[in-house]
Amino acid sequence: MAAQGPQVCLEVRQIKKYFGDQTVLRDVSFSLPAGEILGLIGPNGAGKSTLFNIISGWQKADAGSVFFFGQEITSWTPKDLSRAGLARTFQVPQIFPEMSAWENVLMGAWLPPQSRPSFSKAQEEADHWLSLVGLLELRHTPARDLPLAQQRLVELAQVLATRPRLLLLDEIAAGFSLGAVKRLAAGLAKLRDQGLTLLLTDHLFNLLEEVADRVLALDRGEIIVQGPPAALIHHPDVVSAYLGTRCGAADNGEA
Amino acid sequence: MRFPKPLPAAAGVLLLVLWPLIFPDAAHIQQVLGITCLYATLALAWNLYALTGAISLGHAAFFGLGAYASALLNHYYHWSPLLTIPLGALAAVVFAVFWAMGFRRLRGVYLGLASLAALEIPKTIVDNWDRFTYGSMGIMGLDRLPSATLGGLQVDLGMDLQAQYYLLLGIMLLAVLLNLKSIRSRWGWTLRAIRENETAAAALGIASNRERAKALLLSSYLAGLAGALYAHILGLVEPGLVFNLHLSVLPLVFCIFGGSTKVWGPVLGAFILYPLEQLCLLPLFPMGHSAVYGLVIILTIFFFPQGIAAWLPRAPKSA
Repeated sequence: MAAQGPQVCLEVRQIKKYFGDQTVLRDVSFSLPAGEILGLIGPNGAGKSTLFNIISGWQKADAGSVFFFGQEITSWTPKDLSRAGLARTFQVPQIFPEMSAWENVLMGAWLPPQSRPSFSKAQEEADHWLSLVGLLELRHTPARDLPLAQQRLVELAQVLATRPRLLLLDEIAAGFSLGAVKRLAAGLAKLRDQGLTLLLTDHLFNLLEEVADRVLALDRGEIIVQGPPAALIHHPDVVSAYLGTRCGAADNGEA
Repeated sequence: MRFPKPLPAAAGVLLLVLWPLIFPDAAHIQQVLGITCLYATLALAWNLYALTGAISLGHAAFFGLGAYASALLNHYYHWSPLLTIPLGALAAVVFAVFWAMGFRRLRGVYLGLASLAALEIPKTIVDNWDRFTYGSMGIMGLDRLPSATLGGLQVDLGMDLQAQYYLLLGIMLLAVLLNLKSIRSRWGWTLRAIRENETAAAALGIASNRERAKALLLSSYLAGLAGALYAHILGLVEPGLVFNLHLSVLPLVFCIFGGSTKVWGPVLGAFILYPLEQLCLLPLFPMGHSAVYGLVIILTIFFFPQGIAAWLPRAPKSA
């Protein structure tokens, strides 16, 4: 049964996840309209990566459901989700270490069974996406020899080459300089304008501040607040989730 | 991806084709190099599966099943080896289907150990099913490879060692072509992606288990074909002979020595190591040739970890 109109790209409903006795996600629900960039923030252990893994099929939820353009995908495998147009990057970049940067991107353009372009078309695609992330000059460098930040960009170009409809980026800007974050944000905004929907996690706030249309703040497995990035950055609940409460304030509260 | 230039490969093939014409009386060398072609075919079969990153220690099972199925068809139904060899190799494929299903979740050293154990299953069945397979006594008196007429020339593939050498060389070259086509095709890149990072491959929508199973089925048929040919070259099969662990280790050694994942690696490995053992070390060190052979392999791994094929000239990068 279709859960919502076609304009909603992703809908997450009442997701629960437990690791033993510990509740990692408690009834997490949100929706992501097509063509929007949604950010997900939260301190370490908030449940961001677990939520990403559940949406992209790498982990199973204990309860709840996920819909992608109206179709339930809760129990789909990563392979099936990728074929349907839901792609992701990982905190530790998942690339082909012995292949060159260009060959890595070529794999994204050429191998996915859903597209099957000709080899020459795939080569053009690889050039295009590698150029977009600014690594065309390093095309022959084996991916294993690149610094971590550039490996993330190779992975980004590789998944973009699969032509996804929804792209999940897991802390893509970790370790980037401020200039690199701004360039990345500009590139992502351009992709959004071309119709790509994005869900980004960031441990810090610098990329989301630049590019996100809306941000969800997650703490201890719950969405505590959501809204535009500018409104969230100084929100007391977000500040408290990251920095904790002041001792005096806590004492006063209890008194 | 870089490939060897065609010139050294073509020169090597030409040498393999021409030398028996220059030395037509070197019967022992023809016999040894014929078996080398057969073992190289087994190594190429092993390599097809290794392209997915799998290290098999059970390929002797495919070799033995091909040999026994062909031998049984020939023994009970008196069909020609020309028919029983390609049909017998299918028994290896049937076993590979169970292998692919049973070992679906195994990787690395666990797959290697499981494949080693899997070798014992057909061997034990053949060894103990006396009424059908004649148990450990094996089956003797199998039909040799038949005579054939090629361009008006009558050749006895069973007894003429030169003709047999050319047949085995031809089959090996077909196995090389199969490896070449596999490695250079989109499917070959898919296998390479699986070998390098299965998580990244799945994230691109690649069905790793299915692609790995395809490679295994192809590999098992080729290994079964080598086994079936072996049975009719010798004219006999025995469980201890065709299900021997040695036949699982040989392709592994040839591929590591020559360079696994390289098209010519398994062939180079076979053509250096097997003749070295049979034609040089065995006559020179009749008592200790295995120790010297082992030393050569250890030194190669130390000094050429990528295998001998890594030293072949390279073509310019494709892009």
